[in-house]
Amino acid sequence: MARAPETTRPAGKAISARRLIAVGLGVLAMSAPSLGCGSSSKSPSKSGSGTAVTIADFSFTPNVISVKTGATVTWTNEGQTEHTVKGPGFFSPTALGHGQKYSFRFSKTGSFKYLCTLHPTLMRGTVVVKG
Amino acid sequence: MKKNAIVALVLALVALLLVAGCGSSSKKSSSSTTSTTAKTVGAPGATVAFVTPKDNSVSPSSTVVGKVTLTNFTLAPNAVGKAAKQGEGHLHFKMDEGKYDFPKYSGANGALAVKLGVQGKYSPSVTPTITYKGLPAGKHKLEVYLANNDHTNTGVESETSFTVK
Repeated sequence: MARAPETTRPAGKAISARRLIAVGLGVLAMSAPSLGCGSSSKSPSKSGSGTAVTIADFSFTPNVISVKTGATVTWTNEGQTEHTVKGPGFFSPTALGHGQKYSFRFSKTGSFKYLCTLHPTLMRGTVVVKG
Repeated sequence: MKKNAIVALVLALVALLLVAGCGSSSKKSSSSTTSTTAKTVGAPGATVAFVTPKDNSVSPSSTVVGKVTLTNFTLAPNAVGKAAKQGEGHLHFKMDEGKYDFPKYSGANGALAVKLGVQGKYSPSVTPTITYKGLPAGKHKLEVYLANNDHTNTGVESETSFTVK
């Protein structure tokens, strides 16, 4: 039975081949993020502690926001489509067009879920108010 | 020779993994693009036209029924507010640029407008008919457009002008 060529090679050449593989895999590991593949793993922030919420087509960002009692949260529609903001005790007076804002002051603690009435299955968010 | 084959194999593997990795990234991106550009969803081949009131007609009554005919477009009541889907959706009627799109004038459709927060802009409808009551005497313009499920405009629209005596 003939032996595999690798085992008949001088030890130095076999090591060289393994090094090549190692180097190749190393290059792969290091270059993937810099080639843009890494960007897909960056997920937008899901929660925030500021008082500003950006409305896009079709999402609220952050979709969970924590604020202190008495804080005023402002939603700004940066999308091209009209959206609304409706939660328990608050509702934007009309659909917000591009660039329009709506603000509401939260005076009680609690977790307030809200949605866009025009896209209730697509756009939901929560304002968590802490003392 | 063998060494060259191994080098080629390693480089091919690297290239394959990079392409595969970027492929999944691109997939996510395109998915995101689809959801953020719903307005590109339209109604190719669809039409909407007013049956009543006829253009330049005169109404002896302050109650006016707007009725339209649709082709190549399906009204989907259960999909209102959901993601846009080509060829289906609902209607947005607009009387005098929204001036009469309130419950007082467009009834249940106006009430739905209030529920959605679009009163004064348009009256949504999942049927091809809408009734406006209490319109003042004078000239009025009624517009309608085919809306995607997510309320974006498909770009297919029609209008008619009439006078209430």
